[in-house]
Amino acid sequence: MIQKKVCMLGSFAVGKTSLVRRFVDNSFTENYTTTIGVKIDKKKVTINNIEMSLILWDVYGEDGYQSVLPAYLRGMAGYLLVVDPTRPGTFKSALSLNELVKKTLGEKPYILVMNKCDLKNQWNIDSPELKESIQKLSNTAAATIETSAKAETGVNEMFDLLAKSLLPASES
Amino acid sequence: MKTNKNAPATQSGFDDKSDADELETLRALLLAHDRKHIEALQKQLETLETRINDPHSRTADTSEILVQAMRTRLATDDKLSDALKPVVVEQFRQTSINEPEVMAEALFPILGPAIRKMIAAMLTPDKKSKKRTYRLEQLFLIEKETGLPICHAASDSAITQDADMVSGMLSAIQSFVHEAFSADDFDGLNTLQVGELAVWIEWGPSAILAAVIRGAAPEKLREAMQLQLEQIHHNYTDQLNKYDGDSKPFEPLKPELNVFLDSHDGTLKNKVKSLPALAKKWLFGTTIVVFSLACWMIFQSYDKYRWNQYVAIIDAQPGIIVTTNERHFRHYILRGLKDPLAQHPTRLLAKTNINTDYVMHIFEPYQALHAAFVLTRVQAVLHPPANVKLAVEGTTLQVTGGDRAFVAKALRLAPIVTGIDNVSVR
Repeated sequence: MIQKKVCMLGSFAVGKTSLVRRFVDNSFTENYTTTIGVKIDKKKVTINNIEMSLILWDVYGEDGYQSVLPAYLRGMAGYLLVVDPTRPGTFKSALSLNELVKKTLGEKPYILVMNKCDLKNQWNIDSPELKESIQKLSNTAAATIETSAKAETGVNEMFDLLAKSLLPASES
Repeated sequence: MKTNKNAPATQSGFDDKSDADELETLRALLLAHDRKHIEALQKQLETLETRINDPHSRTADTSEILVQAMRTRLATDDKLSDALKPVVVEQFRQTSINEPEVMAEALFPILGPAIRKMIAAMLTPDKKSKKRTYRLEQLFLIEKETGLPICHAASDSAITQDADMVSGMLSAIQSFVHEAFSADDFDGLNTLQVGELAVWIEWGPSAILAAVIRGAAPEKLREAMQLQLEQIHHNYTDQLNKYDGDSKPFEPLKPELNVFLDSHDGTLKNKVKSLPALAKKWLFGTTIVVFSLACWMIFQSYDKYRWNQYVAIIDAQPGIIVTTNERHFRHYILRGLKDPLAQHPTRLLAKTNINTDYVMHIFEPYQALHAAFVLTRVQAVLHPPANVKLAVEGTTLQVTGGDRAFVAKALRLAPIVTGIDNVSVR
């Protein structure tokens, strides 16, 4: 089985942890997460008859862990960039994180995850500035997907898309 | 008894005497038995007083009951032990200081068998409980960059977590420690310790080898891990360089790791390792004590030998008589008689390994009758000219050559010199 290290990146409270909590195959307790700023989970997916084990690094985006963040990114094959459209500020964080990844590792495949689609009536993404940010993030993403951990929408697809983006060109 | 108050004085005096005799006779008759009894009691009292006042008698009396008295008291309570303890301890301490050699000699025959017995007891396998000092539970070979597990092996009894996630966590912890403490020269986390559980980590260029250990493992396990990791890097160089998350090329490695697990299991092949930690400390401590004692005794023997050698050399020197010599801890005393013309012992001492600062020479002056000394003294008195030859044979000074004046001088002055009785002129 092929294993890949992938990261869940996004601002505080965008729902990263919720996205993985109910959909992963194996997980450690979350008690230690605030100690070292990362939580490790595992998600198995099968793409094109190829089994893949995604080792998910749910990285805390808080300021206190900014210094250690590049170290956590090392060796990452791809990532899920999660935003909360009900909070426009999370797009700004996503842009910063994207830049950090490029600076640290170069271009890596990622999925832009527009979370909390069950609250779509509260999304606040109509400003031109925000549309531009979304456009910018979407353009470089391997895929963009709307998800809801609460409504169980799009989560498994999110992992499938990421796994697919990690396959060699000959396999995908 | 008869009394006559009207009788004359002389008669009265006669009667009084008679009465007294009678009274005494009567008293003797009545009290004879009591008097004998009192006399016997007085004799007994005198005997007792003599025994009490005589230390020798008292000592003899006490010695008869002392042992039994001590036994009785010891069986009753601890007060006798408490009273004797400081005396015994102080005596022991004093002997250790003043007569260490005596103490060492007394203890040495006891220490050896006692230590042997203790070691034998500790080495005897306990069939009821097969103890380990450590257990090597799991081995993780982890790709250094991604933190992904390349290969994982676990013992049958190990409680295993998902190897993928454990590897990830180890990698995360390593990154956290590295970044959080800004250790520039940090070359990798080596040990994680939680209670009796430890994770030992060895770092290679492309991969790390992590061992999950329960208990206290010996440091040589780490050396073995280093060797194993080097061997992996040597045998799997290409596979490691091309690693992209696929662990299939490393499948042959798993039996190797299992062998490593088995061969480094903490079930003790060498039973010394199974000793409890406290016993190990005791063994170590005792070994140090015995070793120190042995070293000290060897040094004492050597010191005694070289001192005796030195004393013998000094004693053999003409003009020196050694009367007593004393050897103490780090200081020595040599007493005797020394002719001023004899060689000073300090010059001979310099040829030995004995520190001159620790040796005290106490010599009273005397004149030795060795011919060489006598001749030197005669020459100092007579100041013979170049054409005169002096020699000493026994107590006679032989003078060869010289004018009449010198001969006269020799005849007059030489007998004054100690060791010369006669002068012979040729």
